[in-house]
Amino acid sequence: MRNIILFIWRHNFTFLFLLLEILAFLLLFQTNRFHNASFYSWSNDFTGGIYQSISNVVEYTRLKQVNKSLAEENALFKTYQSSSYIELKSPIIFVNDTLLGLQYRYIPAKVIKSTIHKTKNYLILNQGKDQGIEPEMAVVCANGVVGIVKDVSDQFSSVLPIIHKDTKISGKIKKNNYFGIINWQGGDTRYAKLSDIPDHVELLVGDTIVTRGSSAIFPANYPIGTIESFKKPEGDNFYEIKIALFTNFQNISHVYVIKNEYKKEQLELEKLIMSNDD
Amino acid sequence: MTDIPKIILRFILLVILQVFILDNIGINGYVNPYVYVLFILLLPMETPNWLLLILGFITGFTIDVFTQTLGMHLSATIFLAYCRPLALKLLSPRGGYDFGLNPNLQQMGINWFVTYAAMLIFAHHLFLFFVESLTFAGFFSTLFRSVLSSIFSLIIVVIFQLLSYNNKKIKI
Repeated sequence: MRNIILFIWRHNFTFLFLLLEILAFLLLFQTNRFHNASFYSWSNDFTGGIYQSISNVVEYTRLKQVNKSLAEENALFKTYQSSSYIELKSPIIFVNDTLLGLQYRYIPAKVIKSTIHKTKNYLILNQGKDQGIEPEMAVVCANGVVGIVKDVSDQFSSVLPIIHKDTKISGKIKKNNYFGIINWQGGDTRYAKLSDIPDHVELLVGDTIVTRGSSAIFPANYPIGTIESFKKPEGDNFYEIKIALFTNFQNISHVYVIKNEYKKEQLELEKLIMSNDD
Repeated sequence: MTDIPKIILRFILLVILQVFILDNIGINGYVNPYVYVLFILLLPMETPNWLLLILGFITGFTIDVFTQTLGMHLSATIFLAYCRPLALKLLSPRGGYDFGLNPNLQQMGINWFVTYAAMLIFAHHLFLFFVESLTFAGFFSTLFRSVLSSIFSLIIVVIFQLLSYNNKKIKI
């Protein structure tokens, strides 16, 4: 017994190292497996305030770009407003609110922090629980899909973008509706990978990829990117497709968080199917 | 003892530099410098080993809080703190170090410092990038990333050291 204590004492440096290293890996795996909401909520509140003030300064340098993209978006909206349309025949208009229900509500938010150089990138938005944002909501920008909300605190929320190696988004080819999984494995943030498209489908470089809208997170047909290149690996029945993302993560700043008002209804129905299978 | 305020100030400056400037620098998602390791590298020679590990823990944890990667920088910085006495032993001159030396560029000379920093920065980056990917699947891509980032970090660290001392005093 005395020898063991002496042994540990002589190598106290190594033992302390191993102890701290075990602690570090426990923290690492715990936060990977479960959403450690309390830690991230706390650290969001703490660091979010600091990032917000930095972002207030940095934003000035981007105003020109932001104005340009907002102006483009405005032009698009102006095109769709009723005064831009000419009446082809005089119609009888019914307005009946019981026929249409709003499914997707868009909440505007600003990116106050984003990373692009890691394999696990993330964004921080300046809107949180108080503005109605909840985990697992879709995040998009004017050009295309951005990612999915991960954790929320009162004033801030963190987002897993497409360019995080664990993010998987269901996408489909717009022209023929074949669907697959979009995933990013590190490297260049302008490109991602689309898998699970069977090799008998006809593809062309430049085909548009849009969201499938199957998971009650993203609305269907929201643009993601275009096919950059594709190849058929030997001995495999699926294409390997490289897609160029519409969203530019290098200068992303204004985004919308999408709230699906009918999400609960869809999920309950899906749960019912699962429980019937058991 | 009089060095303590200086060390605390260096800690704050390096964290600010890392989180607000260097985390935004990178080339095609491959190179990402982590210069906050300089804090551990520059601690006085007489720092007790257990204190090294604790300071490594604090540094890693602070960076993790800012980058939302609890455990990643923590484990890598503890590993760095563990490697530091080994590197010092390996590079020790005949007859050992003089008392009261600091392992910096000014007192130890450029050759010694670059060797010392390169060894430790590479150890830290290699550990960090493998923990980040948590797999050996893309072994060579991860290795490539750590080598490139290490070189980048080393250059920044040396430039920093050159800037913080009066050039005439450096022994080559």
